[in-house]
Amino acid sequence: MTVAGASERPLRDDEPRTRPDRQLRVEFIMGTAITVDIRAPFVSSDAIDAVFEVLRDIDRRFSLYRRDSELGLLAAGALLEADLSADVRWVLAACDDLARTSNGAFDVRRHRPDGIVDPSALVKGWAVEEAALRLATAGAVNLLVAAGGDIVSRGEAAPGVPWQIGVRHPDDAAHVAAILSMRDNAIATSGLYERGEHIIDPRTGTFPQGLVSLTVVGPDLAWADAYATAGFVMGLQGLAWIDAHPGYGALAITESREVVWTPVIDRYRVPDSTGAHGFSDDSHPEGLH
Amino acid sequence: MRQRITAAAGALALALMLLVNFRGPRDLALATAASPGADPATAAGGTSSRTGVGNGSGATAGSTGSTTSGGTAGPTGTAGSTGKTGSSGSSGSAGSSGTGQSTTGVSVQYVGPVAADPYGNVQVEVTVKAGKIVDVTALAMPVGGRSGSISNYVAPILRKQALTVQSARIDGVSGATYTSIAYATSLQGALDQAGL
Repeated sequence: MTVAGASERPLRDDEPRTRPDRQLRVEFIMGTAITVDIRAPFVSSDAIDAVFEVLRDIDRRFSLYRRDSELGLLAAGALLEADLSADVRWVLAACDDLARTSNGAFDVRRHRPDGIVDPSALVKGWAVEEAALRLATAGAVNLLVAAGGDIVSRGEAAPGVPWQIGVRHPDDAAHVAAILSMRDNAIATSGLYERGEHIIDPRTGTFPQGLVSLTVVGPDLAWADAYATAGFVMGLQGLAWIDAHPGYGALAITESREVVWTPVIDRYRVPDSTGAHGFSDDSHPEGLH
Repeated sequence: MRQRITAAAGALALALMLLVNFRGPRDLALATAASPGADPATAAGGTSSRTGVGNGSGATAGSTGSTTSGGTAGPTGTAGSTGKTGSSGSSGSAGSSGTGQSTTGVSVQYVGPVAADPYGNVQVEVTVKAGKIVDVTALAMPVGGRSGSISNYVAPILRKQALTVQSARIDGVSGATYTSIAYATSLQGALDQAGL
């Protein structure tokens, strides 16, 4: 059972399993586990420390779980939007732009029952992009930064081997429903299975229907993350909406347990490696029905 | 030390990053990060202390085989995982007063408190075996979902396939993760009970 590029032989049980081929660090920031995985060439430990400090700083300014963050103060009415830092104002402006282009499917000012302005869907992706950028500046070429299930990849996992990213199976956290093989791309997933109906249609205040999860792949995680949230709200139509954004692709898992994806995903998708299970319509790209 | 993780993050990552063993787990980079094999004594101590990533991962994988995955995709015996085999210098070194956790092969569950979230209540259960967290389960999560028929709208550009379990060497998993502080709060409560 191999996929493209997976050429290493299995380790015997008695072989050591140290991994001198990667720099790996995980810290708990922004309410989730942030993973940095760097493959050669490596960077200094100080450089990785600095990246995590950047993420902590973003958390201090953006976290709604901190009353003294800028967004926390904004939510409490203690700060006006005009008084926010440039980064925070940029994020809110970007969110407002997306509210317009998504016809309100993504609206950080209306999607919470308590009415608090919550741009978390875009902030996390933006923060991870910042982290990846700083690691690249420090000399990393092949790297992966993950915040929960939102991932930025640069370069490759090994010479000639792209990063292999699984898309979580909606019914079983232990397994994946698709595998995407990529270099230099971001991937974000929105869904209901873990966050407990975290996503509300800002236009109606109801829970979106049709999809169980929506995964977006594209050049920038901030947008991939936001598109995933917006597209999830739109349901199946969200795939076509995302397809209209150059460079971005979407893969959805529907309530009827089908995997549906846009053509861009074909560049990355590893064909079903289980073979015997299910069916594949790969040779019939004419559509669903 | 090139490879470092935060022990607490490792424990939380087990739940939050939704990573379990797939085939060829030795290459599951994030599973390494999620390894609960880090010294459990530090797991409850916050995010400041770090420990070697290799610690006890082999042993961990051995025990996780009995928990969440069970593995419809992965054959049994894939539990090699990353990290040094048998290097579990941290194993059982918690020195904590937890009950039953020193008994190899016995799993003990600790249920965390119910924590409130803007969207509902969250409650987490951890399973401890031989002083290590081998599973984290959400007993309660905010609900309110509704099922409905899928829109009949389909773009002709779309392609589809029946949902199946995929297995291959992977470096990470994308999924909607539960990022609530309430989750962390309940998890911490369960860890406290477990004496980790």
